[in-house]
Amino acid sequence: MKGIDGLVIGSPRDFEFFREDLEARDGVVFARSTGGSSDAAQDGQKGTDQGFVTLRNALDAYLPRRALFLSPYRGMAADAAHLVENGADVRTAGPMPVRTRNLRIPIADLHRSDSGFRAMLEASRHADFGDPVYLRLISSPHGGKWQKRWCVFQSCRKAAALLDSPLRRVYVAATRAARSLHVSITLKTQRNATGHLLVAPRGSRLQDDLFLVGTGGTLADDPLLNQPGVYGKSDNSMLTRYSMLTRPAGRRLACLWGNEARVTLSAAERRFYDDLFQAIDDSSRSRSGICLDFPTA
Amino acid sequence: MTDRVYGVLLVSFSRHSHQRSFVPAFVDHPRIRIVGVADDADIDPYLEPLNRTWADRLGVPYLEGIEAAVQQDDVDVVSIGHEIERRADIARLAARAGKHLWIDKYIGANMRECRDVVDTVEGSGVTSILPSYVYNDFVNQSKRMIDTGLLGELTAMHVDILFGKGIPRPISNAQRKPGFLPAGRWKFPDIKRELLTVGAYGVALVQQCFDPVVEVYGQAGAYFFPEHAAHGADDFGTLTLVDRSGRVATLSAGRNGIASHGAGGPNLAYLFGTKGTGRIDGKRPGFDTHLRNRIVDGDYSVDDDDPMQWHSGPPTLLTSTGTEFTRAALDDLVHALDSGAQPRFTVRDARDHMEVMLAGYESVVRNRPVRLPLSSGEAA
Repeated sequence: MKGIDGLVIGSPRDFEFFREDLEARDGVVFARSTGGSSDAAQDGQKGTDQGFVTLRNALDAYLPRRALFLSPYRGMAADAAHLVENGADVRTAGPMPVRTRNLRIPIADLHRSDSGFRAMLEASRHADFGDPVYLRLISSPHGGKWQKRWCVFQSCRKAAALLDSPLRRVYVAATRAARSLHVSITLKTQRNATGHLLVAPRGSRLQDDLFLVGTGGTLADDPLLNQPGVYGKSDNSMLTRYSMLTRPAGRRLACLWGNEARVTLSAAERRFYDDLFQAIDDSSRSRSGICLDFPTA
Repeated sequence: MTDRVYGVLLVSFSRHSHQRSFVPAFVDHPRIRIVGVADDADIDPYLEPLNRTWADRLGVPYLEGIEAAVQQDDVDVVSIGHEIERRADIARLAARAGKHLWIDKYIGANMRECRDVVDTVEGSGVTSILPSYVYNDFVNQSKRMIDTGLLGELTAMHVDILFGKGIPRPISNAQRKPGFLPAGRWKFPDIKRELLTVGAYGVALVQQCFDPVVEVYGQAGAYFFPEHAAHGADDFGTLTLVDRSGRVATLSAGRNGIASHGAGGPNLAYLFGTKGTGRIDGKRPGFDTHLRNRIVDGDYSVDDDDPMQWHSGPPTLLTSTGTEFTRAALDDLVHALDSGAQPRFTVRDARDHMEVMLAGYESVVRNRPVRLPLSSGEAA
């Protein structure tokens, strides 16, 4: 096995977010997670590996010093355990899909890798912004239940950072139609700011459409304005085809390896997120919202 | 045979209403003639001279005493622009006199009043319209997008509507009234309840696109203005609505201060469907207006007589070119009067709309979701 500096496991979409960084780094290998067949379909890409190293091959061929799981998949816990056993410093971008005995994998705050997020955080902490009042954040992850759960987790973490306060209470309302799940998290922080975190079923380029309101003004990150696009042929109907290209995300892996990105969830926080994930399922079945209190420190 | 011209009586130019905004459409419409301005004697001191000024400007008589004024033969339609607390009485009075109703935004201050108005209007057979909600580009574009089928089945919505008006200022703890003021008191000299005032547009949009709402969760309590904090009343809030089919809508609404947004405040809707997500900017179509002198010399001060800018707007960097909704509403009313059809938004719609708003306030107070229909005692 060949020793490498890092192994990054994720979906093709994850690769796009880190493309510039991954292509500039020697010794870091990106492997496609195994649970993403639906990702390929949504991306409109064909083939089984789309040119990526498959995770199975990567685990057989490399001995990474560090490993980072950007998307969850079935069997992830076993792969993470394997990497830990082989001495890798392993991190994930969300809670493990299954309970892992004797295996405490640290979580990395994914938003810390995003230069756009860091710039917005800096702007929001400027005195001109005043106190944060409201955040609306819309995302639309590829994949199934656990990809959505990780998106919810990451959105909650991001909200707490931008609103500069731990969460206090959430109201979860989810709806499912034609196998599409939409999740709405209505939140209030301990400083009385509010927010809506929406995880949409479709709209694969609707990534982190964000509107942040402070007492001094507003900050917005609009994907329509931040992604280049192509006007295409129009048909005889009223539709004009407009294709949005991948956003030049410029995310940096180094920001996720550092200690400042490391998340340590307390047992109560871990239970809160377990309850939150369960509430999403329950709400979508009952057609009614569910309130949950965030544990106080 | 010439088309009939309908006489409109303007009842009150209360600064808590949009009566003055309706005037240009009334004046310009070939089938409408303003026949008078009316109000009662027991009104705020500022209001009588304001009413008289408008009557003089329009060249019509000012009539003191609404009950007698609505009986006049030349009155076909009564345009109600009084305070929310007076609208139900005026609506019932006019409907019983056989006059059609043009009502600004709300038909009553609580559910009992709203139900009474619906009963009276429907019992008297007059036509009613609330022009403010469904005739604008925001709603029309949203419905059009849904109707294309591109979204698949609509599953969820999100709406952000903020008014970039007024001058927020720091708020000390001593200025904050503890707790949250329940629904029921709407009229204040210095503030409006903004979840009601602004949130009403988002709720109306959701109601146009969803099945009846069955659950409401509201949040408020973060303030921009000391005036609102001193009353414990909302200048900003959020609502989450669940409809009978389980669809979920979220919305933010409020007044967050001048120069906080290039277009004077966002007016955005997201429509989430099984096949795609739609996004509609209610301030568009329009064009960007980056004119140096207007920006450098921009006057962001607010009038002392209108500190919350209820009747004025800030300088913006976007010039909207969408259609003006009042004319479309007036066309719908005239068509309804000619044909006997129902306008797109009647007192019945307004009653259901108010119930959602009241449930939102109830939810904020109780800090839990509230189910609809409201039972007696729940803001009813």
